Amino acid sequence: MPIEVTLAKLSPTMESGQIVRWAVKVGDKVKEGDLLAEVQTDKAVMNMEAFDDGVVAHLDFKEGEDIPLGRRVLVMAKKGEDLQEVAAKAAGGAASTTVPAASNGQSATAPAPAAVAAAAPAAAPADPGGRVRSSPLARKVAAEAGVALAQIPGTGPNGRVVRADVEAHLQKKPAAPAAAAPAVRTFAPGEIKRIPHTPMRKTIAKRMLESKAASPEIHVTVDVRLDKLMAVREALNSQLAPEKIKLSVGDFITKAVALALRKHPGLNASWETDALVIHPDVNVGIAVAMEGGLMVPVIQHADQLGLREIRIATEAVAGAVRSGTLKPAQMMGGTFTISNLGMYGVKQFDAIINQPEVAILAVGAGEKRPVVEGDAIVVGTVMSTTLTADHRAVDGALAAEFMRTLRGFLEEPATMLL
Amino acid sequence: MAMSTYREALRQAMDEEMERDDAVFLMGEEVAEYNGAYKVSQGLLDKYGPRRIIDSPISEEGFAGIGIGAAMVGLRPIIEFMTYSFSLVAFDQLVNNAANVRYMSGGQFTVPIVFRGNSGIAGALGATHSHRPEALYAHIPGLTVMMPATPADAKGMLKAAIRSDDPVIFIEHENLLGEKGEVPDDVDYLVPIGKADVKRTGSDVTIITYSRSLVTSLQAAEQLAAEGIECEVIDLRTIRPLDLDTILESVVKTHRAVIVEENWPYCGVGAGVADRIYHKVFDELDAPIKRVTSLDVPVPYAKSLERLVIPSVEKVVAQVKDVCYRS
Amino acid sequence: MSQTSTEAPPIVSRNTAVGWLRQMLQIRRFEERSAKLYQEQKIGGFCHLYSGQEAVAVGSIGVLREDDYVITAYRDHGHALARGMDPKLGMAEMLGKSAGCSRGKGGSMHFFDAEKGFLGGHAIVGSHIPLAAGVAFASKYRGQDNVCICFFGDGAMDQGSLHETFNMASLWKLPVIYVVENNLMSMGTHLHRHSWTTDLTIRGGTAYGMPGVLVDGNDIEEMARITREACLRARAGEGPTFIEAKTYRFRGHSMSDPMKYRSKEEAEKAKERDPIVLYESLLKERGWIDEQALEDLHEKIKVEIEEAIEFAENAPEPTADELYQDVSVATHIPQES
Repeated sequence: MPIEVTLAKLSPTMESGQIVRWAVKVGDKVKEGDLLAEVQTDKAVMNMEAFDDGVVAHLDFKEGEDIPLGRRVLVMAKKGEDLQEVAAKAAGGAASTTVPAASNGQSATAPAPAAVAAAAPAAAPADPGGRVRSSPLARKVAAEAGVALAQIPGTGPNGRVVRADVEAHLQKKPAAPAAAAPAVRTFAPGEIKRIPHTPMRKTIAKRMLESKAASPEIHVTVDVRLDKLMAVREALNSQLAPEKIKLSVGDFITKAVALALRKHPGLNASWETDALVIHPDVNVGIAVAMEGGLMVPVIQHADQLGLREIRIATEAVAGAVRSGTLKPAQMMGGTFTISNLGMYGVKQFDAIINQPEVAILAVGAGEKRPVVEGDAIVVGTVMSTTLTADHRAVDGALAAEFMRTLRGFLEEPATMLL
Repeated sequence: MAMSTYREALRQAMDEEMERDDAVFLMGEEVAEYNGAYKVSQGLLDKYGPRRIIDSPISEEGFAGIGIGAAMVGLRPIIEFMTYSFSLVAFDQLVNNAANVRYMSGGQFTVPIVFRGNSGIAGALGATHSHRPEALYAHIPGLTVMMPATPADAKGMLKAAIRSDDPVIFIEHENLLGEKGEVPDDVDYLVPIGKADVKRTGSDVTIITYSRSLVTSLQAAEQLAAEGIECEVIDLRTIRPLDLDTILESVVKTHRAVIVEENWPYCGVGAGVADRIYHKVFDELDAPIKRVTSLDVPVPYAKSLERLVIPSVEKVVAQVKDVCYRS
Repeated sequence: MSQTSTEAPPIVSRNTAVGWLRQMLQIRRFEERSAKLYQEQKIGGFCHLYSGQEAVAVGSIGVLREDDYVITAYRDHGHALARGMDPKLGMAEMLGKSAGCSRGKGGSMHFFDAEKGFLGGHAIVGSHIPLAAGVAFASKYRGQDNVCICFFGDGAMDQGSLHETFNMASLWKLPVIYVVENNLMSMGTHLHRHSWTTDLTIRGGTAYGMPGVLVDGNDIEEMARITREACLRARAGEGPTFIEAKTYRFRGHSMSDPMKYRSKEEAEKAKERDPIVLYESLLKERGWIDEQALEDLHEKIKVEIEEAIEFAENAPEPTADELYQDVSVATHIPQES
């Protein structure tokens, strides 16, 4: 029996995926563990690896096509199986379209010329008159994106360009190269660029809109003086230097938030239609930006971790996000989220709640500001931070109390030890 | 709700409407003492007597015209064709008189009449007895053409047809008569004329069908779902006027359409439906509309040949895959 | 079979008789002016004139009750006018105006007047014969005693719809009166060339077990007497009657008919028995009308038809939005792009 590889569930909320890149082509020998394809899930680009040895006989999808979970994506012939035969079966009889003669080292018989022509649909999208065959919808999508159909390889019958081809093309299309500076300043008409939504984009859009629509938000902002925290951080970092560990202000905030949540469990909660669910564990999610979106890996049991452990855990998940290797388990179980834009110099902002959580903390930059001390104005390091809370679950007083606790922990870091 | 057959549902519809309105009567070959050639009118003679359940001679043109005349002066006849193949004998009455009288008289006369009977390639009946004449009638302005596929629709649609003030060509399917399903008891249960029904929702391709082909289409949709293709199956129910809104809404969603009918392909119902889709939403289509129809031959007697003529699950599956660019 | 006789005692009052003459003159004038309008291309399509056959329609319809029904074939102007249709409405229909008796949708062959119980104007030969039985069926179904009278030409004797319906009308004793206006011409084919027997009472009456009565269609009062008898039978539940009215069509089948198929002599001879001339003589004979009154009557009819033409010519053309009106009772949804 040939080996059928199906699209695996690579993220907890994944319903479909796209092959971003096939790492193999028909005719390739594959060993267990070899990379087969890179798959875009709703969260990230994941590697799909082979679990068996074999020779690739048939690819069911082209790069960029949306594939429902569990759908067969690739067929491999096992040792001793006739590649041609496996390919024919996999393709439903159209063997020669899936096994080009060039890559088929096992069959001595040359395929019929007609079949060879059919084997390369991408090569001839236009008929001799220069007309590009295309579906009406493909034309509409291409026109909206401002791309010429002639540039797009068609995969439909007779090389017809169909919608999927246009979309695949748009995803691959590189940004237009910068033109050389002209002698006279003229302005070439710009080209509209349409970026089809990635699954991650769709997920973000859907979840943010749902959150905004669902929750009546309140925003509570406090300014936190960080002078003492900065001093403690410096001291600890010099101790940790041999380990090459460097605590960030964010790590302190994670710790302080986790402890504040322990004190105010009403914010370590989820809103459900008929009840507020108070979570036993404090798992703090940290929003991490990446190309094309963001992800929220979770620091589990953050309230019980030391700063050093928090740093190590944070570094691990942030790295995984950036490399696209974050595992589904690392995104699950969050009870509260921190969004920190301090590194961009943002003074203050409001974040949108990561539903069904009931609150999110937006953290601005620590900066030197004039501070009134007694009757004198002194220079102090101050950070503005804003809690967005779902008023269905959290009243203003509770939000304020939480922020007071948080501010206390951050301004007097030693109290976190109590 | 109770379980009834399609046949019983048709009878319930006639029974309830006859009880409600004395102007309603049933006329046709073998409808009374024989209790209906297909037993649709079973028991109605006992209940309503020979004044209202009337056996006619084998004179389709004559009794179709008698029905139209009676309707012109206010009665609400149900004229049964033993099978719709025989309606061809009465074609002039249906097309020239039933359909035209209101228009030609400038609205002075109306023809509230229902012509009903079964049709379809029912099994080894040969060319003359296997007609599917819906396209012929759907061609004619002034006629309403209805074709139920389920017992519930059979009842609600026939009741709506009887209450309609316009001539209705009501075509049942011989092979559906024994189909069972939940049928509402409500005496005012009416299926609106001109309203299609989405019998299955899906996102990948729209299957547009009616009558027995609904059964075929739903089986195909089931099989395709297992292969990851989700079909939306629209039961037209009323062939004329066409519920274009429901069709377009679905096609705009799926970008693909397959039309399944037991009719012949050339100038068939599907040809008309495809034409409307192309005109309205050309730019939404990602593939040409495909049709599964009967083959373009007179219907043969031999079962082995007849089987080839009828739309099959396999043919529907193949066409759906084709519009999805899947093999 | 009945013999016509001008010596029989009159079956109508003087007023009724003069009224009948007036109707015949109205029909004749309407038809002759229609021929003129047709040649002036104001009337389009097919136009079949009733000139010469007036006594059949006026004599038979003249004895009906108001709640009875009349239905006829495409040579329908005479029956509509005999049933009391305003010639203005008829003429407006001829000219295709929405003021016409069928709102300009029917034309010459499809006159309708629901108010007068006039059910058309049907242009497929024999197609309306079942409708008449259906109308009669409804009367019987409702336990009413009104009848339906149905006119058609000898050409319709050869249609299946007639034979199917006659069987059922007789079988179910429907209150319907069928009148074949035997003008000897099935379009251009003479009776002896389209019917195995020239006695239509055998084909239409005897064969279906209903009385078949031959009448001189030029004798208006005999036409009335026979129809009255048929009405009585029908109202009494005794079923249908078949009347063969021998008549003659003065004009061609339609306006485009050169009448090459019949001799001048035959036509001249027929005109000697012009039903209008015959009735005028009879009424003069009876002293029911004099020359002066007759002249006045002719003059009045001329004025009436001129007024009808003027009305029709001045009536507005139908507007485009009327095109989609009255296709169906439910809102018509055009199955267009």
